[in-house]
Amino acid sequence: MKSTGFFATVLLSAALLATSWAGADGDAGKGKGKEGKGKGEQRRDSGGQAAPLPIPLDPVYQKECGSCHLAFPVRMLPRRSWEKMLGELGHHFGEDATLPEGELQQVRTYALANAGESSPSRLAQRLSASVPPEATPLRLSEVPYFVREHRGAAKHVNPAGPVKSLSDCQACHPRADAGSFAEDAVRIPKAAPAN
Amino acid sequence: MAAPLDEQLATYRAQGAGAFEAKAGEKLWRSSLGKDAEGNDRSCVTCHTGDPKQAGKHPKTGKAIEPMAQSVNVQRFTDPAKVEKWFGRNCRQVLGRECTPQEKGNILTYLGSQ
Repeated sequence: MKSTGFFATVLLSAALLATSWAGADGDAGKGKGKEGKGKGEQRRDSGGQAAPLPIPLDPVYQKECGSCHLAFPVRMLPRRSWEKMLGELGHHFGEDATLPEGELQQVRTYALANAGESSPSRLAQRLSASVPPEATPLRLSEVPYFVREHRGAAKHVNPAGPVKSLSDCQACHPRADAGSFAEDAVRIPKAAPAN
Repeated sequence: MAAPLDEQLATYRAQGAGAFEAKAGEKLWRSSLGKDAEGNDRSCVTCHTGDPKQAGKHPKTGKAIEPMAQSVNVQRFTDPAKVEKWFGRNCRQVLGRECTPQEKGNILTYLGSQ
């Protein structure tokens, strides 16, 4: 199964890179020491490499899992979280998100092949590594690394305000739909002034 | 009206539906029969608004939903699999069961009249 998953990933990535791919993950610019966090477009990892990471996209995943919310980059959760979530789509955070069998299998194949453990992205690895082995978070906002990174941002969340919840990535991460969460691109919108 | 809608309606007739009525479709559209996980009302209107020509919005995520009226959104009802997928999910959520072919046809007739 693992080699099949890898092979599928290679094929899928090759096919999709030829058509569409999203740019930098954005984690290359992150880091507590701000090392290499330059101005402008360059993002560097701690080795000083400018490293845009192609993110394999799947059109079925984008369409089916992006119809009610942002199609979250699958690498942001571990494989077991996707297994669980895709096995209970009829009860998806209180909604019925059932997929027809063909689409379900395609999404499942894609998600499992590109989940956190399989991703070369440093951001994905930090997220995955922070999840205790006994936990299977379905919400990115429950992943310890995510929680730590958003401690400051959490005070801007307000159901009435421009940042309605921490699951509304695009409120502050303008290129979240491209899978890019570069810290230097974060713009926290100001709430409208009270009347 | 555009052919895809007629084809959908023909499918429902073949499944046993009788004459379709836009009024009955509208009534169902506006009925708050379901609840979401937090106990808030759910009806078609919750996501699609009371005016099918307007864009709707998912109440939790804020994601925009293109208008349902074919008069402003020509893509509507052209993909039978998509129609069935969404009827399946949304009827189960709002009514707690699948919609009957009659109900589906009534709703599409209502949306087609907008």
